[in-house]
Amino acid sequence: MTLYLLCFVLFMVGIYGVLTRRNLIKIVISLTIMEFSIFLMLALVGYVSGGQAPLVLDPETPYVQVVDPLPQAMVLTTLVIALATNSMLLTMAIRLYKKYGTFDIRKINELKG
Amino acid sequence: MESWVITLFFVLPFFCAFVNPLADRIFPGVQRVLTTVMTFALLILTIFVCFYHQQTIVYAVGGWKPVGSVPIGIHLVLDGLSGFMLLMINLIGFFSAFYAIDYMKEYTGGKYFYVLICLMIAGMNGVVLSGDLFNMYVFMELAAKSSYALVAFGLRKDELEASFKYQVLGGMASLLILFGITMLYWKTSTLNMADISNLLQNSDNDAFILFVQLILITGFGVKSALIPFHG
Repeated sequence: MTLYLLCFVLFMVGIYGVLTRRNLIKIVISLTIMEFSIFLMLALVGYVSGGQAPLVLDPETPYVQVVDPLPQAMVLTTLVIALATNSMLLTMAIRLYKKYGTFDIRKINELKG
Repeated sequence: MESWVITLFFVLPFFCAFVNPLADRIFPGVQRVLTTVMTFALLILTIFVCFYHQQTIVYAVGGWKPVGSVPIGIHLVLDGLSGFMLLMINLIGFFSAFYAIDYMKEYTGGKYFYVLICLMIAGMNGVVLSGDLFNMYVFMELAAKSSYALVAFGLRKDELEASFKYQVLGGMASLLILFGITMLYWKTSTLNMADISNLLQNSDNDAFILFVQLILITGFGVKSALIPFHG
């Protein structure tokens, strides 16, 4: 149970970073921390105590206790999506730096209200 | 009617999205016609499915049959609510593609616009049709990523800033949704929506379900800008 709570704490650390940091790159890093807390949570949900990797290597004894492979597949898919998210965010950050000359979100304030 | 017809709702836009840049090399300007015809075909298909056929269609992707009472594989489901949402998405998609013929002439990267709008229509149709929670999440991310790029399409100062803000908000919302999906999978060990609904009706763990409901309502609310999360 402690591990699940630690994942949630890591998620909260990410939310705190997104809400309080003033640098575009640090906001992107905080979003990545949130993503990785969810990946850890997914891998934990599929864990079976004492389970092996979900591979059938020996056909003589196919009935061994394995961990759940579905959350691991979900983590792989979500990693690709997270890569797309990060590259989009960093592209926008570079473009914003070229337009405004700063990464500070207090100075990037064309949209008010 | 064969049930594979509902896969056309995202196969056609995907095909159109990846053929558009190639077709533009050979016949410059053809992607306007191609996209408009594709969205019109989707609109016709939606009207046929909603008003003429009028039955719930279930399509098992890859033909995976349930083992006992446990569904495996991904199912696509078209029921009344999905039909209504499909009608809305494809009607607005057709009108946008039609309007963009003239509007996109002032932008230089017009061919990339058609790729993005096709991917966005494919993603939104997939969200509505999917009967599997994680598949729905992937389609939602596809639609969201295309819309982030479309917000920043003109590359002006305010457009880039709006896109960055939208991406941070949308990223947090989709992570909340993924967190809710993880909790639901932890509780029920399945991702099929109908199966989850059956399993949760017989459970008595109210605090857990309330927590998941709050997480999911917050996530989808921020994503779609519902009233407590707008602004």
